Amino acid sequence: MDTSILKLEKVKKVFGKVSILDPINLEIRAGEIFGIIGASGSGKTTLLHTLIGFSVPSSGRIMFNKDLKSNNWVHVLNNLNFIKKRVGFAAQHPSFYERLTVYENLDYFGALYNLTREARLSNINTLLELVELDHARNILAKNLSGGMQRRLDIACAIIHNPELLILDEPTSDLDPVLAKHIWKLIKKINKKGTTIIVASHDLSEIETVSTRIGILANKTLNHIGTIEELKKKISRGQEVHFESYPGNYEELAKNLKDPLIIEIENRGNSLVIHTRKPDKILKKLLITLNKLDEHLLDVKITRLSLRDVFANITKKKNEDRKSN
Amino acid sequence: MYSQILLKRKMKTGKVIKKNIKLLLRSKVSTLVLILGPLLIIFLVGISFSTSSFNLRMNAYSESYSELSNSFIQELENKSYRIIRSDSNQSCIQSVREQVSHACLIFPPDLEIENNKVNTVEFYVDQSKVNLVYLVMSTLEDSFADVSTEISKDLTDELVSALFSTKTDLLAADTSITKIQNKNTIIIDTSSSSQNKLNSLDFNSGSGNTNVNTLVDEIKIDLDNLISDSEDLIDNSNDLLEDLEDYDINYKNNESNQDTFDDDISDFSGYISDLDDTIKNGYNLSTKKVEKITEQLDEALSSLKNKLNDAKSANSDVVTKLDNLKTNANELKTDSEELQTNIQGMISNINSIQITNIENIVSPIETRINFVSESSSNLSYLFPSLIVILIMFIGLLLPSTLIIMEKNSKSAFRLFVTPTKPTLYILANYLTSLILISLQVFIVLSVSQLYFNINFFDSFFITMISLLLTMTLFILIGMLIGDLFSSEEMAMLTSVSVATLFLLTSGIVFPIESMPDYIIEKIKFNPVVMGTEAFKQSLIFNSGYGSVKQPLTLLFVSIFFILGLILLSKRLKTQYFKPKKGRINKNQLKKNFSFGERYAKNLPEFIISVQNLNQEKFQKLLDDKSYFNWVVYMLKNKPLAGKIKDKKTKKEILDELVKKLKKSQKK
Repeated sequence: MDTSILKLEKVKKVFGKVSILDPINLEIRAGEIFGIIGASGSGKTTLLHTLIGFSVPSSGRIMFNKDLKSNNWVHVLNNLNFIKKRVGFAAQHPSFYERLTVYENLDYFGALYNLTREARLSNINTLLELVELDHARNILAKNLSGGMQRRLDIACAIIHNPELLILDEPTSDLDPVLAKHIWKLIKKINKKGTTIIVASHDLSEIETVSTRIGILANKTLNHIGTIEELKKKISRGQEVHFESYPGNYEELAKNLKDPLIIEIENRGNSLVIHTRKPDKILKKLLITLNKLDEHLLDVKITRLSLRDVFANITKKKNEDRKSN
Repeated sequence: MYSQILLKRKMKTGKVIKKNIKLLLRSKVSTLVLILGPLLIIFLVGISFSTSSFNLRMNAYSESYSELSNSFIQELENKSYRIIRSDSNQSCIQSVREQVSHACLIFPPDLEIENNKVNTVEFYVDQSKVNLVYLVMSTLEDSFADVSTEISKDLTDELVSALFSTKTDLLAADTSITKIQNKNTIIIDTSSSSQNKLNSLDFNSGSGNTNVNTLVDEIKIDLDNLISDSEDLIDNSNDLLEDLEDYDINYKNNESNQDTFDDDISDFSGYISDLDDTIKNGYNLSTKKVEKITEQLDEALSSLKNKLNDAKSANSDVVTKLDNLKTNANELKTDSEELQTNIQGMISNINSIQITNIENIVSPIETRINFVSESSSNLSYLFPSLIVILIMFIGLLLPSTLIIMEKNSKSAFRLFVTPTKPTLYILANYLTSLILISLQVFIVLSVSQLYFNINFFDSFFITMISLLLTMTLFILIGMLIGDLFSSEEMAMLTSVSVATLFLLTSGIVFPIESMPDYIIEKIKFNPVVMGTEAFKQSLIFNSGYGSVKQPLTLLFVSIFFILGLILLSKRLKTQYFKPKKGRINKNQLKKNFSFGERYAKNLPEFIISVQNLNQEKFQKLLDDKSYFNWVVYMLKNKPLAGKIKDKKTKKEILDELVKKLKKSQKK
């Protein structure tokens, strides 16, 4: 299905005189997991809050497709109550009552979503199984581990079976094992048909989970696409990392000039060469090392990751800003 | 449909209340404060105020304690006040400054009641303890008044006893004076009589002597006469004898009688002869004796004369003295009469004293303070204020804490993302607080009913109404505080500050009467005053609705006022429940509706502009509420904006706009 469930049209957010989000256009496809990545303070949370109407955009509009079959778009801000019933939101920090049990939290929020007692009971049982908190249903939320708390928070966000689930940094403050668990849960929820928008700085995980990704940098979301699309768009080739002795990397960099080399990066204790033809560059590298009487200690060739894509974009933007 | 919505709302409200109570009860501190707090308060209050006395500590000092100063101290100790004897004047005063004691009493050395001696007992009290200073002063004054009254009674008793003893003596004196007067009168009379008698005495000896001589002469004459008479008698007798002899001759015819007669005549002649001799002898003897008598009489007369002269002199002296005596007696009489008049006046004055009872003299007017309510301890009359204070503190702290807890809780954000109206939270918070405070008040009232005999069933309905309105008002104020602040500390601080302000201006701590008139006027709007007034009227005086009408009305009006402020606060701080809506960009709004090369400026131009919009643009502008906004902000016609607000198609909007245009053209 390639139908959009949410769309942003030239959404801009200004606090006072400070612009937080420059006009953003975005369409979220029904059933996808859309990852939003961005540096801290880049405006990810503001963007997510704007999506649900918690923060009103200074200009532009946010539309929600209330009927995917007939494409019946409604304005989010004008239909907040309706949107609240159709969207689930899990904030960066778990949002529940610590002195209520897992069951009580779910029951309470279910009631706030106007679910009947029967519906709440049914949803709670399903959800507890889904988030694997069935055994902890009568434990006070404050006594849950970090990972369990995060799962409870997500469960609270989807107690009303929303069509769209928005997750803000779902794995922040979690160790890698617990984070993996959460990502697994996100996938499970998505498999049940819920569209998910997730903002995270856990680039390695978001890369594996997301259907599409948007990179929020310098107040805008210009780079949107699948991982491959982004890599293709941003990539500066592969990276050849090497270390040599005595390690006169400056001299090496001067002697390594080649059209195939996109960039040479001196990292102090190693040299990184960005190139689309690492095999050819590797040959030249060996010749140059010999010539400069440098002994090769270590060498490896790495492919571009989302982190690299993100770093490149961020770096490029910063350079653009400086040049301007 | 409506009932379903109502049911859902009830369910939601119930859930929020249940959640609030669970959260509070699961916090050990909250539970302790909420459940044990009021019990602890009422327990402490019950212990503190269940008696009618106050536990006061006092220091006393005197350079030299007398029996009287000790009796004052004893009197205070009898009233269960702790008295500590200080070593010096300074340490006594210092004890008050250091709040070790409530008052310092400095007795003058050797305190005694003496004439022309002023006994001043000095009290030192801490005036900064405004709530206690008047109590301490009153207690001391009362205690000292008691002892002073006792002393005064003794002195008066002594005085009155002396007075009545004097009266008895005066009565006796009066009788004595009367007796004296009588005796005096007798003396005067006797004196007068004696004087008269003495005056009538003749002490002239001369005439007496003459008389004696005369008498002697007369005796002599008499004797002479007697002799003469005797001689005459003898002569006569001799004549008689002769006659008889003549007679004898006549009687010689009778020889027998003659003899007898002769004998008798012979005897008689002998007798006459003897008599003559005897008379002569007697005369001689008598003459001698008379002469002797005369001599003796002369001597006696001479002596008598002397004595009479002396007696006359003495008599004259006595008469003079009697005269003086009489004069003095008369003066004494006058004086005694005057004295008697005075004594009678004194007796009359003493008799005219109507009040002779010591109690009545010392305390001529007995004061008795009657309480308008039947109360046996301080707790009874402090109870309404205590309950209102309890309600105030919990009413301000609980809802504000609940709201702040909610605001600062991890779940705060989730409240926004659920389809719940702000009014539900207002209602739920109000009901949660009301339930919990009611529970506490119920506990307190039950404990009071059981253990302190404070009956609140007599005017149950009005008491409950008063409590409900008081609770509601304080809860709403607490909610307002919770809404206005975002940190628990600030809300707590504000709640306590507001509570303190209410308390200080309630007349419970400071007397309202000590404040300026313009403040007193405003104080009746103090919720504590309103609540206390209503509760007191209903609980203590068991008054009907008429008495509590004013405070209840004020409470009612205040509730609506605070509710209005809460709603206003919600409206102003909508970001808590509701997102802020962006400002309308009028320039952008204007640009949306072009009319030729410029933008639509009036209704006809706007109609044409809307008519020319393609469907996609029309829908976009409809979603943005641009038609509504243009009519509101550009045309400034809110009624027309209201009419097109819910229109979904171009035709519907244009119809309304054209209708309005036609109407205005007709005009």
